[in-house]
Amino acid sequence: MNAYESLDFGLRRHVRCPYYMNAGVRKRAASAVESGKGSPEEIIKEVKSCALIKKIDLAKLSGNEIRQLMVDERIGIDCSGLVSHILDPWVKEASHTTLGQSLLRTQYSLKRKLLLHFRPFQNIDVTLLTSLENAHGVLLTDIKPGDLIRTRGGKHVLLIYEVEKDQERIISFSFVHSSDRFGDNSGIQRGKVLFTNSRGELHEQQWQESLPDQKPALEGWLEEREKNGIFRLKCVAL
Amino acid sequence: MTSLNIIVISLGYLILACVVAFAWAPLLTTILYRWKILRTGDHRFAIPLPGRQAKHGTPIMGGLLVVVTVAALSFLFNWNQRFTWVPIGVMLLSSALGGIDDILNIYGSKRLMRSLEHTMTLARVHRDWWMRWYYRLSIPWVAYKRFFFHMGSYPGKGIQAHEKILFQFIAGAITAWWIYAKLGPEWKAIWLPWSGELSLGILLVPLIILTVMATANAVNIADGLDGLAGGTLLTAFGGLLMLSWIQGNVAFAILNATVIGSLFTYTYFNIKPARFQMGDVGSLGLGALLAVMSIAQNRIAVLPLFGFIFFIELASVIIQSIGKRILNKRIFILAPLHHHFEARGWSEEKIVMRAWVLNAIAVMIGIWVALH
Repeated sequence: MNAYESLDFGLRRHVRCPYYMNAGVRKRAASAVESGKGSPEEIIKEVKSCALIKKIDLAKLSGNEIRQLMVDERIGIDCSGLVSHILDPWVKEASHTTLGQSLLRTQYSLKRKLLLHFRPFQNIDVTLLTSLENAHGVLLTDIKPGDLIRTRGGKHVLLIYEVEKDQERIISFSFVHSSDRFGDNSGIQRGKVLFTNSRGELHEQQWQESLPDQKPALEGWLEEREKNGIFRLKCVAL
Repeated sequence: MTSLNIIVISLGYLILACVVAFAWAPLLTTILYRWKILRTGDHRFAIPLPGRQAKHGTPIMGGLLVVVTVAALSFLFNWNQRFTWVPIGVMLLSSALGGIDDILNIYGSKRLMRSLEHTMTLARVHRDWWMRWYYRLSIPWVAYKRFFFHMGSYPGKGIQAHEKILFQFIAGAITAWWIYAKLGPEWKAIWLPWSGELSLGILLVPLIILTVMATANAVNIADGLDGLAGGTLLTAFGGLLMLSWIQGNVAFAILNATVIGSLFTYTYFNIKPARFQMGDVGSLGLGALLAVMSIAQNRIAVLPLFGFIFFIELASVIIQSIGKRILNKRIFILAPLHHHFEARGWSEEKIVMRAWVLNAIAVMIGIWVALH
């Protein structure tokens, strides 16, 4: 998470990873970073390659200029890519296998199995992560770090990384996601939800994450409630 | 006919081809400009190289200079049913494919491709029973197309990868039929250095098809910098000409000489800044011809040396694809290899001239090997 927040380009230049999603290219056998699913190391390497190709001296660019270069050249991370890369070591610790391998077990199609085996990160999306085969719903009062919040009617995912409790009662939780809804600040974002209404739903709590116009982000929580929800990966829950 | 006579005759044709090509090159340039057959934006690059914008507006299909000159001179002076029909025919077929691709890339519109899932749904739910059968029967073809799409083929305006492969397969199959069925039993064995001849039987057919397809695509891939394909083809056909002198085959010697003569003219105009570029019409045609001639002259084993740069370029694309699709990393900054060196800061001239020299060295080694 920290690595995505401050991609290290040397000379004390740390860049927050912008948002980039490209499902179309992903279908056509592109590399993880070209699909918006690269690891921090792969993203840094891609930026360096891009600078070489375009004959840009990275050493002369400031952090903001590097970030602009990444936006212009469509290098970044999408929501499921970010969540997958953060969860992967978590899954390895919990179940001694990779996230891709864990999700592969629930696939019946040979094509899906092959794709997940050879190109795991490119083929993990919100639908797969939060499908009933791989995850189960969680009540708001039962959330834990590692849980996923599916929003925008199943098109976006947030990862809960910290839950604050007062004795047994949850008072807030922190989440991280990569979103395109923040204009020039698109990309990896952290946010916090304060439990101000103990009987209320998730969208009725206080979301401390603001869009550029200062409205609370909510990430589409109010728009299509049927497919929204909180999920826990079965491989993490084991 | 003595070897000296063959050399004299073929050199005469080389000069003739060179002069003829020079004579009509201005006409070709005028036609290409008038019909606006010019290079536009490069859709093939995810990250466009900065220097390439300078090439926009340069005429393409300059390869016609070589293809038309060689075909015309062969038709007029070297029309030999046994030896030159098929090489010229395969070259023209491949050139026609490349020419259609070049023109569609300029004048065509973006082509759509129906997905396999959509086709299967239509095969199930279309209201007309005959359309359901049409979609059912088209499933293998759609699956074949989708395979190339998923492997990264860009569905642009021109001929798509699956169509190119099919046409090149046909060109390879014609060559294989000619060698296997028409030229007689002595052509069914392939020569190997230091070990004589090896009879492959029917396996010769897939080998020939694969060689024609690979070589045509390799030359097509290498045609990315001014002068690269032209100069490298010069050395490759130079090697084949020397072999035809040694083998004493007049028809092949004249054919190779006319190719070299017209390539000299083409390369004169193609040196940076290029007056025109080869285009697929030239690269696919001349690539196929290079393969056919090396097969016909029974030196398929040294073709990787004669077309050393082309095969290195082809290998770089394959390695990059494997790296990106399976290993999930770039092996080269960009593929083909000449763009990798461009990205590393080498000048276009340095890359092209080193490629010429390297290919010339490889051709010399190839000739030395071919004499064993």
